[in-house]
Amino acid sequence: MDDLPFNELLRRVRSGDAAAFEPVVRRYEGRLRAWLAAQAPPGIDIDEIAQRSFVVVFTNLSQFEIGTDFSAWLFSVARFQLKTEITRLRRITDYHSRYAPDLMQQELARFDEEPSEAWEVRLDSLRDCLQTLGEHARRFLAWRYEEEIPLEEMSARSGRSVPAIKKQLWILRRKLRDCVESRVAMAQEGHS
Amino acid sequence: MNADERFELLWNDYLEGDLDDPGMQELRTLLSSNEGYLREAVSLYRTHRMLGLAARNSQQQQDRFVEETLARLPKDRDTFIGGVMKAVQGKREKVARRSSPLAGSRLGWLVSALSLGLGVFYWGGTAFENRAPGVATHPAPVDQTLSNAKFLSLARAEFFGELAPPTGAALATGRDYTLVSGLTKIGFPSGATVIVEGPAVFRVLSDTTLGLDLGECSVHAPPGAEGFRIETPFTRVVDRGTRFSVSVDELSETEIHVVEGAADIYEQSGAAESAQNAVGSNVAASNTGAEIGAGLRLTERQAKRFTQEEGFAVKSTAFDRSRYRFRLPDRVVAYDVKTDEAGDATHLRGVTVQRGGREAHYSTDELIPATLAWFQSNATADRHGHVVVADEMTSPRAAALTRWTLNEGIINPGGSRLPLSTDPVMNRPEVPGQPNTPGFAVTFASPVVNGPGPDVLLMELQTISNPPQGDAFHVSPLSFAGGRKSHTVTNYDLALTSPEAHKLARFQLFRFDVPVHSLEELEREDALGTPSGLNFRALAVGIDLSDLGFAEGETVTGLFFQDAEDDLHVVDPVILCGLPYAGH
Repeated sequence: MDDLPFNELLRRVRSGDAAAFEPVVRRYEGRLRAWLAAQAPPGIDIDEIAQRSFVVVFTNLSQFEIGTDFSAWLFSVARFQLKTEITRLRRITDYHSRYAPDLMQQELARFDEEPSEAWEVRLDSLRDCLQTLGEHARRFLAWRYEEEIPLEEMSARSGRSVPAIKKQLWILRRKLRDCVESRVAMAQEGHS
Repeated sequence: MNADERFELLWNDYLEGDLDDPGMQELRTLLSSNEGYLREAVSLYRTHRMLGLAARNSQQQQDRFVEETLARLPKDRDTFIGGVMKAVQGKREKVARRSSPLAGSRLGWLVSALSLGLGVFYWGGTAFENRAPGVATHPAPVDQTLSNAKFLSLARAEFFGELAPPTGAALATGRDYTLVSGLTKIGFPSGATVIVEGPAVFRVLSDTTLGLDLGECSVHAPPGAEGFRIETPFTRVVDRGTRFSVSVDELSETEIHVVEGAADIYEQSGAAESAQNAVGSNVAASNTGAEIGAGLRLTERQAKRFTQEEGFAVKSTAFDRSRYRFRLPDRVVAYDVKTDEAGDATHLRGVTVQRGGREAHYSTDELIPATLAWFQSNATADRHGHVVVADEMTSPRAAALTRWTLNEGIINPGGSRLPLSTDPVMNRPEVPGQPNTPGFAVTFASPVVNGPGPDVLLMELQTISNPPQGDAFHVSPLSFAGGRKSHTVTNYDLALTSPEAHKLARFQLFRFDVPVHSLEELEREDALGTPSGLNFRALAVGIDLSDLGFAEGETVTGLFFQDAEDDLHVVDPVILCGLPYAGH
């Protein structure tokens, strides 16, 4: 089924073949989650928003005109889902003071103009950049982001102080950020 | 430290979840004053989120995401996802159980269900399309229209991903509420009330209908509220003027126990005949419309279990009256305060406590003050200090705990991981070979009588970097004679997430360079005052003397308290007093 033309998949879903929706999800999940990771303020589960968006698209597929831009439709649904969730969080007392600087949310919203696929490219670039790090640094990041162990545990494992761990994470994030930006810029130059 | 270094420190703490309220305030100021910092913060935040996504983006994780998404698709009568799921990786129930580190527990299933989205759907075919709120029916899926149903009260209620609502708040129609723990009582316009017990996933579907996907609830529909409904994944329970309990387990199987009156149960879709056949003569004809088919009437002291193993089935189960919860547990319900010009709490004015099922309000004039009779810190100096006062240090320092001020107290007492099982040792001077007991003791201005529910009130100050449920402590009798015992409090009635926990006015925190071994040292040793940060709140918990082995009506003149040493955070009492006797 993965080999079927995309529009044929959509037609099958619309005619009741729910299984045909699986390749649709597979095709867009990476891009959608990357976009959401870049747009969503703290406290929002991006997988939850992504799944909601797919479910909305599935149940409203009869309203979609096959042959037009499915990606644009999916992302407009996701944007709406994200806004709805942000609105819900804003209504929670003290959300800003406890979890999220409001200025940052405004700044995040400013980047909404970037094409959705750009964030999937950035995610791929980030993976490439991770490979350029030394083993020690990658292990550090794996502790933090894969195992999600507390800083104190990282400190115990590495024999370094918690402030030193924090400093190391700060350096690594900046290094990776710069690496990604550099790769994206090079790719854009190559296309221009 | 220059501004760049300070920004780096604060932003890093923010990303690591270590930033406290004063830090957040400082960060906000920095971000608003320097656009460069703001851009840097956002780009690093994105890198941080992307790293999290990259870590989770293995093929296995992608498969799981796809699987979870497909599991959330609404069921269609003709082409349900069963085929899809087989094509992916097996049945959803197995996935749900495997995917959670808490597998096996109801909470674990709840967490799985949340992540898989299973908890938010009915599996009722086309009826789902019409009724179920939220994600599957419309591009504007989250219906925030407020219903006429209200949260009447909450007891240690913790909701997933959000703060607990204030008492009296209306529920949004169709919105999923995920009660992770605790209880809440919901009132409907008809007079029907429902007590939902966490973990539970529920929603208000209309002014007469509550949806329950998981968990337990107890329904009371007084005269005039007949027709009130509970909808579960398999059943629709229509009240006929009654009290009954509904329990939905991890497999969506539903158990209903009728305590009083009668209730009619219908299957959500199809298979009505099988239900009829299964219950034989006990089936009553439906009077609510052909679309829900025939129903089963349960009357007083009857119970049934409804499953969907190989089609809808009704099974016998023993009636259990204890499944029905008549009321929320006794607890501290709320407290009222005096505030400063900024609106922050400075003094306690009174407290509302449910005792023996009845709420009572006590002004501070009616409360029984306590005097600090013993204090010993742990063996090393506590850098967080021991005395909290609103402004300047006053004498005696120990009176900070006796006054009705909420931003004054005696904090960070010594503790022990294990609660006391023998009388606390409080010798002055310390007797060689008999080490004094770390902690603090109080004596009450008049004896506190053990009545129903809480008899003693403890309040502590807490901020966001502390455990939201409150700092655990042991409370012990001064004498263990007569079978008395220690009791450990781990969850406060009014926690940091409770809307009833008031924000406190600023205070001064006095730190000591040395450990404090006695009340005398507490009064005598040099202490350096530093202003507090923002956003401290006062938590509250009621202590039932019965939990310490005191008999009903028995009197207590004093108690001993120790931090439970379950973590790095130590209890910070600001109010400790007795409640007037509530016996009959």
